[in-house]
Amino acid sequence: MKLQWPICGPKLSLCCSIISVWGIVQFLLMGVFFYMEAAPLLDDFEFDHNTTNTKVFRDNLSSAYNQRAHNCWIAAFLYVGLLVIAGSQFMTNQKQLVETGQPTSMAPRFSDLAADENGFNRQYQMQYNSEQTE
Amino acid sequence: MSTSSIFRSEQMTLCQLFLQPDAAYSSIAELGELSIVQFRDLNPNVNSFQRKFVNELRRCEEMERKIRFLESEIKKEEIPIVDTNENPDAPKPRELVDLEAMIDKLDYDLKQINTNSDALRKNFNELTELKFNLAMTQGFFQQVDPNGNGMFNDMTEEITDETQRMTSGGMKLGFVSGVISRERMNSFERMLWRVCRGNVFLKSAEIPQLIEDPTTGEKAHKIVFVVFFQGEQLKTRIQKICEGFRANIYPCPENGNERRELTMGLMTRLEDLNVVINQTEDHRQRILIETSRLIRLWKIKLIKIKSIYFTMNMFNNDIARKCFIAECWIPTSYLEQVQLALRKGSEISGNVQVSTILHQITTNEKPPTYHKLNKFTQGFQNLVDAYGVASYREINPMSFVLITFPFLFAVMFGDAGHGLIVTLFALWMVLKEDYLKDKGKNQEVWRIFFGGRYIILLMGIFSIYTGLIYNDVFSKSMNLFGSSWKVKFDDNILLKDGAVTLEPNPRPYSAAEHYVQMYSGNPYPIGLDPVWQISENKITFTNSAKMKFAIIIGIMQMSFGVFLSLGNHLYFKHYYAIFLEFIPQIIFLLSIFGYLIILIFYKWTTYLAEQATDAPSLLIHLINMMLMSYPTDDSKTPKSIVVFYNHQRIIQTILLIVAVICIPWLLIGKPIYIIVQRKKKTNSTELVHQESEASNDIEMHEQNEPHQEVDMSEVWVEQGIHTIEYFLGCISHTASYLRLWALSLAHAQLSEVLWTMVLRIGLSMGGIGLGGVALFMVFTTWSTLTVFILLLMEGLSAFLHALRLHWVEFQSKFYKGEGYPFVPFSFQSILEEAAAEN
Repeated sequence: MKLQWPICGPKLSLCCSIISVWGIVQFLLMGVFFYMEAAPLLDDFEFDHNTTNTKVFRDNLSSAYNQRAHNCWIAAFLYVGLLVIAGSQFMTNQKQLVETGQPTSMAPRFSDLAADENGFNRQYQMQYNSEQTE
Repeated sequence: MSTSSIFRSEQMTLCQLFLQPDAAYSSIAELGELSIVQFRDLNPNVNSFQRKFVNELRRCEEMERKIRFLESEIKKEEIPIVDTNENPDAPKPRELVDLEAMIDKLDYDLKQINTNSDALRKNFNELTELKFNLAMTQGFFQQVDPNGNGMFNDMTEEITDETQRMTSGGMKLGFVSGVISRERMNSFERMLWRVCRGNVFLKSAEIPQLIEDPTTGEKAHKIVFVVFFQGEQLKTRIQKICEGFRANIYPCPENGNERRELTMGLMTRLEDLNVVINQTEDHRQRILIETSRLIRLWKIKLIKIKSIYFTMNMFNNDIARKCFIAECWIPTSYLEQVQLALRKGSEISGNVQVSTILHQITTNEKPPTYHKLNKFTQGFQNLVDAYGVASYREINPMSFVLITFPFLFAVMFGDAGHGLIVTLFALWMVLKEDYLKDKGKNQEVWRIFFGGRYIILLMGIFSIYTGLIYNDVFSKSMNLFGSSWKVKFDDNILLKDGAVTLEPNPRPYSAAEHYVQMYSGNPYPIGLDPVWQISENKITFTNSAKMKFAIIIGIMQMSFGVFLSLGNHLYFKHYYAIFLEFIPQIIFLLSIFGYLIILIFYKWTTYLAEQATDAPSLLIHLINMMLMSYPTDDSKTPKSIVVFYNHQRIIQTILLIVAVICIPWLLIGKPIYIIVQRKKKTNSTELVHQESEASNDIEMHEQNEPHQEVDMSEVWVEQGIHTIEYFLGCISHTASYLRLWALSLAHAQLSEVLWTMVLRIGLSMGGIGLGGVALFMVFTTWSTLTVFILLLMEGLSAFLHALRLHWVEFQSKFYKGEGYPFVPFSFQSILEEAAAEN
């Protein structure tokens, strides 16, 4: 489905798309690393390690790693969603840009409000000439 | 031997051109296209109004003014100006007249149309106002008297019978009607009331349609009013007030029939006017569209003509020989091409018999500096030139900066993740170069980024490399090849709370039954072992390593700079400087700091883990070397500060003495050399003088002129400053390179803090689901902060520090930077400048 109207402007949609791509790549990789139980990521979470049983300790650690891996993949999935929305918005904006030659932005709508409306500054040089009406 | 290389600027030749007046114009036009010739002004004292081609220039400026007018008209109509990217040749002088006539005619036509259309519009507006005036006053009168016969029979309740009596009594009740803008209505009414003391009656109604103001073209609300009054005196007063408030007064027949007739007439007139106005508008539009197609070409042609005449104004006009004489700097390797262009120029002008003569002249003047550059090297040359343009034929540090700059930047910016983002951004700019070239020309920040795209690309790639060496990817280590450390404690130790120490030594642990090798013996293949990521003393370790890297890199770069100065001495044949400057400089640097580097490598390579506590403390050893105090070797003093190799004392003392000798060597060597030289010269010039008096040669005098003797005290002071600067510089610059470590530490810590403060919020959440959403939210903040703080802010700071290390620490060793840039006469650059101004 194509969104017919742009919700966000060209800059915001582009920014969101870039962040989404970055997020997808990074979270997919981080998910893989958590799944592989990479040691450098150990600092990033707490888990129940007050146990004297090595097997329980190992299980706790594994399940903590596993949860993080899945969380990362969920985040990656959410960013896929954001990418679809922001990407389609970006496409819509691009299309409008091509069609109208005008970027869809709030600026032009309000620009004319700023124009000087003070009539006293204007020069009225016109004087009536009676010959014109005859 | 090739004359051009990337290490030095191009060899330049000062040439005289003898141009035939007929061929001069087309020859200069050819040179403008070629853009490798820099003309010198031969009439610097002549005021610009007294130059030869001042008339032509004035005509061009007049035409430019007209073109600007045409352009503003085109822009007002919002007609796009056609840009065909065509580059027309400079028109011949006789084409100038055609162009002038054409532009004049267009300008005249357009002005005529404009005045006509203004007048028509004014007329149209007045008539519209009158139309409404009539229609609305009709309404007022009809309110009073539905029959429309004689409006003064009975007015509203306010003007009562009294008025009626007065009318019948001979006093005529008059009225004035007109149109005023809405904003003024209130004050107008008040003023009327006050001035006429309430003896007037005002009726008003708003015109339902916006009326255009002929001068500004804006649409405004207007109001029709009718003022009823008594007597001539009041009438003049009211008229004056109307004038003051810029209200337009329109006559309004008293009789209803007359009014109707007038309205009918008005309608037909308005229709006619509308037709005429539309036709004028169409005509104007057609002219402007026609103009918009050609205006860009005209502008380019005019700029070219103007620049040619401007250049020709710099020539000497030799009346006796009927030719122009020009002086110009030409890169020697391009002489051939210039000659070809000149021949082509005289052929174009139809003057084949006498071609332009190019005559090379020798001079003592310093030629301009010109480097052959491409889009890749340009950015780096800009970095160097921002400090100072290289003196003529001096070694150009650009080719070295090309590699060392991104490298030093990356040492401070070492993070593979950040480097990857920077690289991708730069790669996008490089690959989309042609598309992006014309975008955002007036956005300064974007221009800076785009201009430095190749620098940024190299900085990014080098950052990935140093990031891998530091093993930092967004502050996390990667275990690509498998850590060299295995944790093989038994459960008793592991289950105890708190940290454990991984010892590289084969030393059995008290709790362990037998020793297990934890360090594999082979270091991690590239960079830092990932095990440091989770160790507590990571910073202690990286600090020590990074500080040593910084000193090694610094000393290497500085001594390389000193060696480059040798290249300059050899090239300029300052052989004395090799012995009096280069040798003491390099000996000093190497005998102290070069020795330190050797010690660093010695320490790294010879001390194994077992003797770690005995390893020499280099800083203390360096201090001891300076103070020449060596602690006695007994059991009380720690091993690390005792001499660690045979004859260390003697070697260090000799090195120190050699270094100290270099100071007076550098200080008095050059001044003494100059004194000796002068002695020799005075002896020889006395002889020459005797001869030259005999030959009475004038040119002899000229050649001697530049050899103005500098006062000897000045030489001493200069050399003193130079010496102090160098020796203190060696020490402070070495310390200055420690910024490589400091910034790299700051960058690594900052990115780690960002990770733990922001991203960990999401990562620390347990359970599947909520943590994922939290990660999704938190990542936006983290990525934004990464870009703005770590990439932009930290990147800028690392960039500036790298720039400083090159300008101050590196280039001060060999680079003078006292030249002036070669600015060739080039249509292309003139056109670009003109485009940038708009």
